[in-house]
Amino acid sequence: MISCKDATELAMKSAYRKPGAYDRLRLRFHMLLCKFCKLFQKQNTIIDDAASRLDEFAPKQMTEDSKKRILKKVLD
Amino acid sequence: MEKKYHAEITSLFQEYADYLFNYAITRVNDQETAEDLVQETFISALKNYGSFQNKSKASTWLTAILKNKIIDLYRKKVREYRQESLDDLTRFEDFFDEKGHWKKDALPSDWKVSTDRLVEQKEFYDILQLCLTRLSELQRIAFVMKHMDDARTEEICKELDITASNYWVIVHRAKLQLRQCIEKHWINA
Repeated sequence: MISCKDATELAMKSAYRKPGAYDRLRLRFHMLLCKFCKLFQKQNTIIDDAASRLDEFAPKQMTEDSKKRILKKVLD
Repeated sequence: MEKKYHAEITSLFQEYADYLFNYAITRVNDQETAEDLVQETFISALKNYGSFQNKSKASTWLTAILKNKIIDLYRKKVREYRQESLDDLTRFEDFFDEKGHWKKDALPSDWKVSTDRLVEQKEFYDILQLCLTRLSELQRIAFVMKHMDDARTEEICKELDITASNYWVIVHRAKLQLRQCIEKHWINA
């Protein structure tokens, strides 16, 4: 059985691209037996989802003063 | 400077400055840097307005300029960073023992919230932002590039001048740190 270190790496990579059949099998087997890596995998998905939506959820604005200052510098 | 484009640039600024600022700050995590990037973007826009002339969508054009400025900044930061070593970012002792088993104090605990609800909550995003600032520059850049621009790994590695295997090790460790940080601030709060 692969270690938790390898399993978490595989789980993390799988979120970006589908692993090969052998890796998929090894990962599934590990996840079946290890509740901690399963938690990691679930939470990893949550973090990925949230990270890709940071833009819409954390809108910040410049102050009017900053805007005035920047526009002035741009046009100078 | 071409004074004749001042009116056009002013109107673009009023329409898109906030959008570009928001785009920048989620990628650089620093108010002042983000403001500088917006300023640089509009300076370039003014200089090149003659060749733009509404041939493409203004928002696309401005975002492309800003994106290049961000990549330039990343490159510069990574160059600075690489004066030091990758060692710290590729060590896993904090999380796993020599056999690759979870260390006791690094074990993930159950967040006990439904996934759907969690990602709708503003606090979760605030904590994610906070935890992103706790990462090192290179970790954050590697992570953010992957997530915000759907950039392909090869492109990211090229921009950051690191090997693909180093890239994955860096992101793996960054993920472990992020997860732990979020757990600490969100679940145990």
